[in-house]
Amino acid sequence: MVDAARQPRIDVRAFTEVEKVEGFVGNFKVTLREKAKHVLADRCNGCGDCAKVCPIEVPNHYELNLAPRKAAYVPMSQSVPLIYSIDLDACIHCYKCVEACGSLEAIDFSQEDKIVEEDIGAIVVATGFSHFDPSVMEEYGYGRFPNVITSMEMERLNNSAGPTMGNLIRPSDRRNPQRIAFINCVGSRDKRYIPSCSNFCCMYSIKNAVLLKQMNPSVDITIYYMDIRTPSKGYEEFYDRAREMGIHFIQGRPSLITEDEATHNLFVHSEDITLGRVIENEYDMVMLNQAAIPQPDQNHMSSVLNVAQSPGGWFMEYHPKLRPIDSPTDGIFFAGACQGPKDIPSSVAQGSAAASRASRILLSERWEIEPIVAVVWPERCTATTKGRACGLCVKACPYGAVVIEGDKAAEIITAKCHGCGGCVAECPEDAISQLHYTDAQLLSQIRALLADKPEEKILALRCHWCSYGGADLAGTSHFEYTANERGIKVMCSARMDSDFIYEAYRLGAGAVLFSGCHPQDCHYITGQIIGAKRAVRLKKIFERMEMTEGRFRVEWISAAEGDKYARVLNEMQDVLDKMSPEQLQEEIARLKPEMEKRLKRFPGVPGVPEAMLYSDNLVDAILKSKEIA
Amino acid sequence: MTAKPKLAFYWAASCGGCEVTITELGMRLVDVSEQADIVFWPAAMDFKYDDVRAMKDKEIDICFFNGAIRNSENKEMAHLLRQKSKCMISFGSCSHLGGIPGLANLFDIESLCQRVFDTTPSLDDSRGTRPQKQTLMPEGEVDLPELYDQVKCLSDITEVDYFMPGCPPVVDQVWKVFTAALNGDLPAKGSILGVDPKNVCDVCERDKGEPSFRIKEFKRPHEVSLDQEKCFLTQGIICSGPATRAGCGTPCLQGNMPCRGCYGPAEGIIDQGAKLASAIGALIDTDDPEKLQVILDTMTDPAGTFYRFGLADSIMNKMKYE
Amino acid sequence: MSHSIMIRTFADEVKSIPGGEHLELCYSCGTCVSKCMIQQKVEPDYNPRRLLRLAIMDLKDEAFKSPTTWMCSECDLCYQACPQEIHISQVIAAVKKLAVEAGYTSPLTPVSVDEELCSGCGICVMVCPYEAPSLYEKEHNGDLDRLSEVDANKCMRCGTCVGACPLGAIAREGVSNTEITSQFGYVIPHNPLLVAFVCDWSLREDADVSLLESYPEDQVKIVHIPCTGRIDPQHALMALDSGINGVLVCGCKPGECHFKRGNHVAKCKISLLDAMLKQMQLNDKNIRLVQIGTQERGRIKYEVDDMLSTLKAPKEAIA
Repeated sequence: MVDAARQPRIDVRAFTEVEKVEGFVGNFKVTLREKAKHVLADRCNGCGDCAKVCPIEVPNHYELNLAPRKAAYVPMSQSVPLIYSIDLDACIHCYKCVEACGSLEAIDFSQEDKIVEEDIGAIVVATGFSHFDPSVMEEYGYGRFPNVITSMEMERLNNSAGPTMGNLIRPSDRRNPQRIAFINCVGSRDKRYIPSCSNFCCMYSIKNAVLLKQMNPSVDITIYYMDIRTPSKGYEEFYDRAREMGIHFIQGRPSLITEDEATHNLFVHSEDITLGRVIENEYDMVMLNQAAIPQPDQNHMSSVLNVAQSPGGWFMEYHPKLRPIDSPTDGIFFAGACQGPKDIPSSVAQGSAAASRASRILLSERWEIEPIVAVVWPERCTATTKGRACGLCVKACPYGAVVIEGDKAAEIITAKCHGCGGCVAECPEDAISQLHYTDAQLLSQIRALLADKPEEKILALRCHWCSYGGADLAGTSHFEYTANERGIKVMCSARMDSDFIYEAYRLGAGAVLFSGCHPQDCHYITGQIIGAKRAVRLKKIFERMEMTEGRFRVEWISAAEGDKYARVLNEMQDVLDKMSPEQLQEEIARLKPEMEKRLKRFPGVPGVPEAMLYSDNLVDAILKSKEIA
Repeated sequence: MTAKPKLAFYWAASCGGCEVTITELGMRLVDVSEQADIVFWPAAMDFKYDDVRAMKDKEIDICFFNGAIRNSENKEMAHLLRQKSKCMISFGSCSHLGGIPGLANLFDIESLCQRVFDTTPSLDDSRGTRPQKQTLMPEGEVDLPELYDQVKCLSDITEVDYFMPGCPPVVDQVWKVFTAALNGDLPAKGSILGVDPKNVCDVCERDKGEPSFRIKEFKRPHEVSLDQEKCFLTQGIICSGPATRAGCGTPCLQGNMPCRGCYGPAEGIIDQGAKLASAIGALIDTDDPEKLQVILDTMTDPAGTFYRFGLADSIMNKMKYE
Repeated sequence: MSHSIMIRTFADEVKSIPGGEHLELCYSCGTCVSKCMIQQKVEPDYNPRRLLRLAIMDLKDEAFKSPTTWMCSECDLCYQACPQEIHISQVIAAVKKLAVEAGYTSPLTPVSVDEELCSGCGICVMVCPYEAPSLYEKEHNGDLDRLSEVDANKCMRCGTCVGACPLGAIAREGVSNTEITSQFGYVIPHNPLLVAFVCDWSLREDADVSLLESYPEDQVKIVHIPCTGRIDPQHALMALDSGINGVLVCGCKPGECHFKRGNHVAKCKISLLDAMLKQMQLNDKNIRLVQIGTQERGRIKYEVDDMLSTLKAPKEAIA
């Protein structure tokens, strides 16, 4: 940390919060609040004379409230930068600190928070994690039995710079414990609290036990566990070593801790699964290995940074295997436990990776993005035509790339657009289009495919990442399916506009397949949810129209599900085969006016010549406004 | 001509219902009077205590003694009639178990007098009148019987030959006992006459409760439209039937009212009120422990309900007065 | 999974019965085994974790024969403790249901009904936490008599029916009315003799049980009952009437009754008894109900000592 502070090109701003992040990759505008420490950084020399004379003591959060600090304080003696702060919530304004500071005049009670705006090229988020509070688990008695502590508290007690200067003592009587128990998975792997595994606590638990045993070989230590997870290099050997040192391991999750009121000793009840017997052992002290949980302000930071959260609240990476450092927003990267609990080697590796990916941005003059971005026709947006934007495009975007300011028309931050097409399909005024996937282009494909004997055709709408791949796999695997299938591709099921489907039926298509990724697989995070909602709505509409069941089908097909693709198409062919040609024609004719009615609701469905002209105009307009070469 | 057997009827602390039961014999009273001589019946005829005092010991063949022992007059007459009778029958709940007058044992004599003579609503203006044992009148000294602290059963103060439970005893039962007595056909001494071996539930025809039925609120009979087919407990009404011996012919149940327990505890039950508390307490809805007391509070007078007729004969009574 | 499973194996059968759905989530942590008191106090071979494993592994016969299948009393202490939120007692009940269908029967001796005494009042049917008794009709002297009979596969022998039965027609081995009243024993005058009705499950720690038994018999007389649902206010009154100074009823905390509701039943009965004693202007302080939590190590000593000192204090005048 000291190295970081001394590096001339690293600016460490302590006691500062990120209030707002706007902009896009390479061009972020970050608003910072430099909170008032009431100590002037350029004058304080870290001597600590103010703290010496301060009369007020409050619990020290850094010491997990096991030790006090003054109202004039640094969290720990090795804080970087070594600048003191005055905690106004505790301060009684006696000004003894000012007096003690003397000629340095470093204390300034009039100092106020400073709001600063910085131009930022890339952001690395390394906000860390917090700990589960085991007081909610009554069965372990934390908070009621004095000698039940958490392992973080044990670390402070054991630390030579901690409240007891490294002397591990029992809170009840200050004696050194001779018999210690560690309980793993307190709060973790528990559907009532934190369902996930906290990743590092098995090793952490063994490390703590080895440490205590090394310092005092006569201490008796037992670790209660469900599983011991030692996945990395040298870890299993470390576990062996712990057992050879005489640390006991009992497989069996304790159900209850009781306390002897007189001695404050603890009795841990568990099953010894290996023996198949219920046991009760007495200990002087019990340490609970608490679950790792996201920081309390994770939700707040999530909305400030406009990044999504995975189940459990951790920040969500672009892809868990292929892009674990990137957030879905270009230019924002994650390092460390804020993206999911992990141990030190992984966090350090991730930190290096995040720095390297961030520096790519800083070192480039230009940044390449996908060309299939969305573009708004401002004069069509309801902000212009009706005085107020409807906001459906903002809701559809997984990346926060669409912004609406005041009563202006919707605007796309091109650098943030990933090209899912959700906003394009959602817009009720057709005011947004997508380069290379305009309505005109897609409709012209549909018209071409259904030009000849449309009633025999099954039109398949496939998303690029999943169902297109699935269809491809069906083909390369030589799965037989109906030759009447005609497919078109869009990037995401979110792009599959209702207009395309109405138009397909209006043109006389036999059947239409709406297919995309499975909900958890969408490349655009929430694109499939948008598409699915629309598909369900369409299904209901067609049911009410009394369209034969099976002529409109909604299926989620992954790139690995070639067999499913083939099966679904064949089933749809069966549906068509079961209808006589007259029946089918009669139904198509009956439903045609319904389709036209719905198409008429949306203005400006372009014909092909108009579309061609429009596309050229669109490209020009974009080039002019964005000045992208 | 052999002398006709002699019968006596006396009422101690009672309501007079037992006397009315005797009159309910109706025309059969004529048969009684043909077959026996009624030598003492202050409720119906003009007899005096001196008439009894003048009799020889054991001159009376059968004495039907109803009413509890509340004061010195009741006690004196009990002893006197015992002396003058061959066979003493404890007639009706009051004399058998203390009956309704026995509920006075929930209080003490001073509170009772305060209520009767000072605070009862029907009093016009309390002049602090209290009964005095002796009062000097122009005609001479006038005595009033002494009120005892405790209501007692007949068998508490004298030997009893037979018990006839009920409030009042069933009239047909009375007739049976008459004829049996006149034929010398009574069972062993000390028996309770006219009872069935099990409890009222045994003879009750109503539909019994379903598994896991729970009482969520206690109701009094006038608060509910009573279903004639279903067990009262399932309607939230306290019925003392489970702890009460059968033999009365269940007139109450047939009148669509719950059993009140006047026939006394069934066999195997030592304390009728405590047993009822055990049986009915177990029926209370226990799903929400917070609500237990709420449900219990809907029972307004547990002692008076469960010990309605037998308080003076209960263990609690023994605990209070010994 | 929203679609229904095809039943191919024993595990599938168990999972198809309501309550058995989450069988495979069990990761054998053993929390249920140590939270449950049956292995510790009664049957060393009782092991819910192992039974779930037998079911997952389709070991049907072993599962049907396992004591775990028959002895679970659905107290649900395990459910509160299970980190996978498996309703373990329901899984066990599902296995038991299949076992009964396959013709297996419980090894436990159920409570028995004496037909000579039973009047068919139906109170046992209503109060039983397991719905084990039911009424049936039998010919008797030309009449149709209603009598109670107990399903041996459902009866957990808690004794709640025994306490509620008005005529003492239902008996459970060891705690019939005479077996209980005969334990009050000799009274030694002047010592505060306390009779303690202690349920078998309320004192989790063996140390507490030994502690209770260490009081001299002339101070504290212990009557062991399977559940405080068994208590009968008659016995409490008989004890006090015979010269015993105090009655302590020791059961389990709300939510922890081994037999679902016996502790609440005891509370109702004691509350009614207290109310009646108060109405009679008698001291209700010499009957005490304590409900001890599974985590409250050592509390019984405090309760007994406190009650003994209350009984030793000069008697309050009856109001």
